[in-house]
Amino acid sequence: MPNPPLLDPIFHQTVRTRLGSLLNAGTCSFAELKTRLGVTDGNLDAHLRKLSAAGYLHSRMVVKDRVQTNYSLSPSGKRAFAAYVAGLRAIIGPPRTHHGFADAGMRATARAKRR
Amino acid sequence: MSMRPRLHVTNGEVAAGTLKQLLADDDVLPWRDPMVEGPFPAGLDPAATSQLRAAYLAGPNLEYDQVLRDFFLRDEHLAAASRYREITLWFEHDLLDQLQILQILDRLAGAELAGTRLSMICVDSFPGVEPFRGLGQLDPAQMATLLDKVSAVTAQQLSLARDGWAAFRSPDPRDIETFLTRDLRPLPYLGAALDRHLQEFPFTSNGLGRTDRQLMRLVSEGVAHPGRLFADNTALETTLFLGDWSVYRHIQDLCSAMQPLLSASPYGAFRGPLDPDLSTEDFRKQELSLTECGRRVVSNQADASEFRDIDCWLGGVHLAEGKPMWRWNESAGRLQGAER
Repeated sequence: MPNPPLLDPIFHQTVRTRLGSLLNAGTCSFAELKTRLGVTDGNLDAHLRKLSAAGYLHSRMVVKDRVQTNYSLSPSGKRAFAAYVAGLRAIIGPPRTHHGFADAGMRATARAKRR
Repeated sequence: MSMRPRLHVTNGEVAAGTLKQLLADDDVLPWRDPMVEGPFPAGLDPAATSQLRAAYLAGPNLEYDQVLRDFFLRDEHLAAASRYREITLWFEHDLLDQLQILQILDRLAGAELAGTRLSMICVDSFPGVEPFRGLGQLDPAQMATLLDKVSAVTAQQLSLARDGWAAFRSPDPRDIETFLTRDLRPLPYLGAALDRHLQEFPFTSNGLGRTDRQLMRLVSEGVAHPGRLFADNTALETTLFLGDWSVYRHIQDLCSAMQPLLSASPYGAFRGPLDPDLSTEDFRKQELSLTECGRRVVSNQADASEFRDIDCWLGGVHLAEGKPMWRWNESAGRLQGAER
């Protein structure tokens, strides 16, 4: 049996997993992140700093009526998040289909086990 | 194991955006801080410096917490330098960029970077782009041609940057003059940039720094609208280093002195571009003119200090009541000190 993969500790934390998921999907302002994650300013600051200290964060300043900074994952952050998700999948196992298992081979194994 | 990533550090959102398009697999860090303005006192660590900078830059349209957050995130990112296999600085020749190079190299010089290559691209021109104001003018294809100009940062450059950064932050601006006597060829644009910085000290002839002098002269010649003032002031510079907001801040200061040197119509006071109650069109329509005090200062018949209390920072120098009042002697081309 292969060793389970090591998970990136930057993303392996409840708030930062969700933060990574949001920032991997697009850009968000601080206010949007705070609302969607339901965390305090200080808490979100601390998690953003963790991401930035790993080089995982990109930011862009935009001027609308006010000056606002939008955040996203940097390319190295996106690669790290993809590797983190792949690591989780490797631990959990292949995704199930609506039939219950991903492929016929696994269904056969399950049938054999039931017998 | 995957290869460690590369980081590119540059000034400004536009150049950073171009680099993100050009080098989509690499990380990009824009070094956002109009360093030609406001305090940079010696002796503060990066966190304390960021707090001071945030307090200076925050205003009605820019929250202190947001500015501070962005400084902290930027600093954390650069502190992660050893995670990268290469860090490339992309900058140009002007004062702002040269100060950013000093600050960044000073920090990197103190970091443990045995496995990280430091490199730099710094240019003062680009074929076919006239006048060349900065990397923000280049598209991704043009930017790509600069990759041929990348060179490794040398120990000599790191050492010069540390000393230059210390001189810029010194409370005694003569340290900059002393620094300027050194062989600065490893950082070829630094000398002219720091020389321009010294010209922001109040001139001996009328107490205005070079930017304020240029703005006042333009207004006296009939340039009245803020956008035009920004453009014409830029044309008076060898290199562009002040953004439009910085120029508007200068105008605001000239309009809001104890006895204003400029007056703005139709509102009495000059209103900035992000004033929530002012449309862009109305902002642009504002007209500046010299006051009587302003006319006397422009003609060197009076010193600006008679009409306004000076309280400003130029790098590590705090020009204020009770402190040495350093002046730029334009005919001698050097600073002179005077107790006020």
